Amino acid sequence: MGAVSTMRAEKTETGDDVLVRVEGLRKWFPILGGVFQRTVGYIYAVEDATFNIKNAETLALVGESGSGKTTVGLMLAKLEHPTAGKIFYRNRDVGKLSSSETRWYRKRVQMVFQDPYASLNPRMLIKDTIIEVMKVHRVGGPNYYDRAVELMTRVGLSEEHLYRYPHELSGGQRQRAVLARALCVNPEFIILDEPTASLDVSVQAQVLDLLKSLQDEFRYTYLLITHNLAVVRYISDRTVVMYRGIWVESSPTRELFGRAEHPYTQALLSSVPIPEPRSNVEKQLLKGEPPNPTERVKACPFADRCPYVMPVCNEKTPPVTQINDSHQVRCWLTVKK
Amino acid sequence: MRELRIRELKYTFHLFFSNKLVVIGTAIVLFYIFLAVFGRLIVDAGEPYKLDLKNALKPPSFEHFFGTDDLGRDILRLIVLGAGYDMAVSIFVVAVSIAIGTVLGAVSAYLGGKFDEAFMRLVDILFAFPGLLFAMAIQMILGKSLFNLAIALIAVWWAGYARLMRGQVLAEKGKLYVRAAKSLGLPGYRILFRHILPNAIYPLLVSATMDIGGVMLSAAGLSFIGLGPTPFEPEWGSLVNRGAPFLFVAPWIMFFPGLMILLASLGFNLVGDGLRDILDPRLRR
Repeated sequence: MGAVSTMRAEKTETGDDVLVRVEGLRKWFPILGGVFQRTVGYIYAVEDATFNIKNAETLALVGESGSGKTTVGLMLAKLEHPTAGKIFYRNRDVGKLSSSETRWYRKRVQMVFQDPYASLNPRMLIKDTIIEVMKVHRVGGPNYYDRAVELMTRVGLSEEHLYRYPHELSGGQRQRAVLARALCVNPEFIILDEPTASLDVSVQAQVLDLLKSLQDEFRYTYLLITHNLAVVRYISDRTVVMYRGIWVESSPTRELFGRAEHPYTQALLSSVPIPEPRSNVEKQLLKGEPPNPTERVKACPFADRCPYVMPVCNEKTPPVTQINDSHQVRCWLTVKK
Repeated sequence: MRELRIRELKYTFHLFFSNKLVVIGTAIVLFYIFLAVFGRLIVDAGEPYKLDLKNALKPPSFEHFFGTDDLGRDILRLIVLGAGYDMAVSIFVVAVSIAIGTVLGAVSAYLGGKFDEAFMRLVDILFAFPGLLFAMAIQMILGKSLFNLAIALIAVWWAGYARLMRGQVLAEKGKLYVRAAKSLGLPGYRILFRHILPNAIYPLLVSATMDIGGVMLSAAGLSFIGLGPTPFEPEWGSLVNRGAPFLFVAPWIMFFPGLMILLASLGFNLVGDGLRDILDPRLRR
């Protein structure tokens, strides 16, 4: 793991256009028990998340539920404090920001949550929700209202929707309103936590297209957190696969769909239904139980469910293998090759 | 846009008028407020001082609709004048209690940790005393007067609101929109007072409306046992007190002021019930 960090750091120093650098991020949630509420154990939500996001790029973080991808997003949004590891934003350590720098950071980094309805204040008009954020960050004044209308139009809503309460909007409209709120302060980096999970399939495509066109126009950088591989394929440039809180494979999205190296990634990809009933592609179904988050990973996180498991997998953490310049895997299989 | 707001307003009225009990409750409350505000204009404010012993303990008649008390004063007039005292005390007690309780409870829940723990133990201690007894003790220390009666009741009532508010804020605090507000970089006081509070306060408003009746009962209770106003402040509880020795000779002295207290409790409770339905935007449509 240490090797990875140094390698990444060098890469950044060579002048790559890296916006966000995440190094060995870890989050353990304490489990409190007993009369005195002492820590009796941990939920090991994230063990090691390490990746870079380049400017104006979309990085997808994929994995099954409980793989820690949302927790990574929350740490990036400074809503959870990492147990270990570091986040660098424009080469600044996010953990060490002063309170005025934190305001600077919160303006540039926006998060769009999975459930747009729950993330809007139910007693505030969309108008007030959006304008409040602009006022706090002193962006878009003095004609806040005009800018709000402009934003609404940009995300495919109209002025009329400004005068609605969240419960008066449909799911897709809410997601667009949340997006307008995120965009109103001119952010650089947007964390999208399952942005389409709560939407109908037809609306999903519209929202994804909107995200794409906004990125083209304003050069936003996205971190897309999702379990939906179709979405990943459609929108992301790079993909990081996580399992039990550890990143196992990192690759350009196109390459990942062509030649996934990690057995977990392969299983994940083959679980996507193919719209062809007589297709010959062999499905790799995972055996074994879904992982228990209160148990700490000792060696390879995937060892107990991997179809190609070898003795070494249960003994040592697999090292990072470079498949090529931009494709890394953590698996003993690739080491042997 | 304006049309939309007007439609909203119409819907609110519709909700209001479709519930008969709320309408009745509101009518009662409005009647009491009217009495409290204009009582002194309708009835000569000197009535409590007009002793007319020849006409003492007269039963209800066309001359005295509610009869007269042992000093020959007209009960109806005393009741009209008393409305101001009772309403002022109840509303003042509830308003101050809710202000103290809301701020302390909300801040305590939002800050959490040691402060919250210590604060809640303090509230627990307050709750351990029987309310009326505690109010009596405070009033004995402060001295007998209508204002001290109010202070004593506030000392007892605020803790309930603080606890209710704390629970509300704790529940709201965990919701996603609060996290979203934090991630948007809104300052803490803004999140607490502009986002959490408006979502948390409605149960308090409902309970406050109902409590106005309850406070009125407590205030009347305290002044019934003699811990309140002077005989020249015709607060309803003290009128009931005044009638107690004559219960079998002139029951009307107790009956009418008592009825007024009862009706007030009922009215505020009905309104509180209706408010709950009208105020919640999620129950609408």
